Amino acid sequence: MSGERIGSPVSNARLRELGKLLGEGLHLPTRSSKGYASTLSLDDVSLLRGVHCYPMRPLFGAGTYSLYDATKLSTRQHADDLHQSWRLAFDEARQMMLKQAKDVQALGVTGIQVASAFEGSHINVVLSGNAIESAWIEGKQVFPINYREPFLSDLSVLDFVKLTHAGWYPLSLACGAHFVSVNRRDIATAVKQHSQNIELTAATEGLREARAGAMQELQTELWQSGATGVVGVKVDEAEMYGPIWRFIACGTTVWQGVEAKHPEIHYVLPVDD
Amino acid sequence: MTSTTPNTSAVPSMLSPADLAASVAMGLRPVGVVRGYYCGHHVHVSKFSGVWTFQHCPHDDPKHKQAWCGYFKDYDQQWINAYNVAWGRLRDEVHKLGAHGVIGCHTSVTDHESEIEAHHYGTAVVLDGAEALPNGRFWITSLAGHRLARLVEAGYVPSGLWYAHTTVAQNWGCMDYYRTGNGSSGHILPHVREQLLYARQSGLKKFLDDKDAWSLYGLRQTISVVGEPGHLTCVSYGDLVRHVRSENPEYPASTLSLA
Repeated sequence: MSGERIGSPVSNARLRELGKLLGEGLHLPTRSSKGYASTLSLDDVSLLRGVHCYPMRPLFGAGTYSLYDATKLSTRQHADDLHQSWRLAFDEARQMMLKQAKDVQALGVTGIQVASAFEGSHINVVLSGNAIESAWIEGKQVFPINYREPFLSDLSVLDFVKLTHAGWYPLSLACGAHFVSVNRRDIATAVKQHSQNIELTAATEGLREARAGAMQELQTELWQSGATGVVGVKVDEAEMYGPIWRFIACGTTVWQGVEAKHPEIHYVLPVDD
Repeated sequence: MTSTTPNTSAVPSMLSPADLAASVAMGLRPVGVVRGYYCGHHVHVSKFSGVWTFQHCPHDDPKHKQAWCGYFKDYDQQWINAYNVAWGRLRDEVHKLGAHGVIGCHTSVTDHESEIEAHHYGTAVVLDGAEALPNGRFWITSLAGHRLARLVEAGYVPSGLWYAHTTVAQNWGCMDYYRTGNGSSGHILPHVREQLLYARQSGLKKFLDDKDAWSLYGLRQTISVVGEPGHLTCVSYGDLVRHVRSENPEYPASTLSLA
C-alpha cells in the first residue's frame, strides 16, 4: 500500500483490488513457517509491522506470597507485611516474565497488564503481555536499539510505536507500592466533631504517606535502571479492608535516544457524526 | 391492480451498513446468514478427577509430596465438544449456500447452571471471480468490511477461529494452613502461582504446539472461578490467519483530531 496512509480515503477501486488479492491469497502457500499468537488486535499487528517488529506470543509472569493472619497483628505491622509480600510477588512475576522473554529471544514485551489480588492468606501478582521481535535483514536487526536484555513495558502497541518513532525507547516496568494503616478518628473524636465541618487530617496524612512511599520506591527503581524517565504511570489507589490503604504506581522507564525528535503532526477534522 | 412480489434476490446479512458497503466493494457478495447452535447438559466439575502433579508444599514435610496442581481435561472436553458440534452445523449451512467464506462471525460458548450453549453466527459470502477452496473448505473470520481489507493489505488471509477451554485446580486443602493464619508473611506459594500460570498457558500450548505456520491474533482470555474452591477456568478465543505476502504496511501519519 505504498503512499497510502491511515486517514487517507480508500477508494472502491482499492477495495476491489484487495478483494482480488484476498481471492488469490487464499490459494497461496503460507510464506513463513513461523506463526505467532498474540492478544494484539489487527491494528496493533499492522502498526508493529510498520516499525519492522513482529508479534511472537503472549507471556505471563506470576508471584504468590503468603500473608499472616491480619487479626493477629497490629494494623501497622499488617500494612508492612502487605508491602513486603506484594513487593516479593511483583518482583518474582517481573523476573519470571523477563526470563520467558529471554527464553523466546524477544526484543521486548509490550502492553503488560499488572493484576494484583489480595486474598486473605496470600497475595497474587499476575503480569501478562505480548512478546515482540525485530525484523532482521542480512543478519542485522532492523530495530535501532540492541538491548542487553528484553525490555518490559506496560505501554500499548500504539504508544510503543509512537515512542520509538520519536526516538525514545522503553527499558523496563517499574513499580512502587506503599501500604499504610490510617485510623481516621476514634469514636470519641467523631462524637465531638459531630456538628463540625472539619478535615480528617489522619486520612489526608495517611494518603500523603502512602503516595510518598510508593513514589520513592518508583524513583529508586528509575535510578537503578539508568533511565531518562517514567511514562504512562498508572495509579492503583484504594482503601482496603479495615484501616489499610494502598497506593501502587506502575509505569515504563524510558531512555531518550540520541536522535530523539518530536514527530510531525497532521491535524484532522473528522466530519462524521 | 398490481401485486407486489418479494424480491428474491434480496439476501439478509448481519453486517453493519459500513461493513456491507465495503465488503460489496471488495467483491464479497453476501448469500445469507449462517448459524450453528448447540445446547446441552454438562456434568459438574466435582464429578471429574483431574490429572494432578505432586510436589513438595513449602509448609509441609519436605519428604512428603502432595497433590499440587490438577488439569481437568475431560471436564473441558464438554465445552470443546459443544463448540465443535455448533461449528459443524454452521459448516453445513455454508456448504448448502455454496459460500466461499463467512465474515463478521461471532462466537460464544457460555453456561448457565448445568447447561452449555455454543453459538456461531455470521454472514456467508461468495467472492466474485474466486475459485472455491479444495475439499469443501471455506474460510471464516470475525472481521468484515474495511478491517478485513486491512488484514489483506497487511499480507494476511483469514482462515478460521480459535477456541480453548482449560480448567485447573490447586490443592485447596493445602491452603488451609495459610488461611487459618499459620506460617507468616512473605513465604512463596508456588502451587498457587503454578495454577495461575498454567490456566493461562495451557490454553495457548496446544496452539503453539500445533500452529504449523498459522498465526493467531486478537486472542482474548477470560479467567473465572468455577464450581469448586481453588478451580480456575481460562477461556480463549481468537482469529487464525495465514501470512501469504510480505508487504509491510507504511508507518501511519501522526494526526491530532480537532473534534
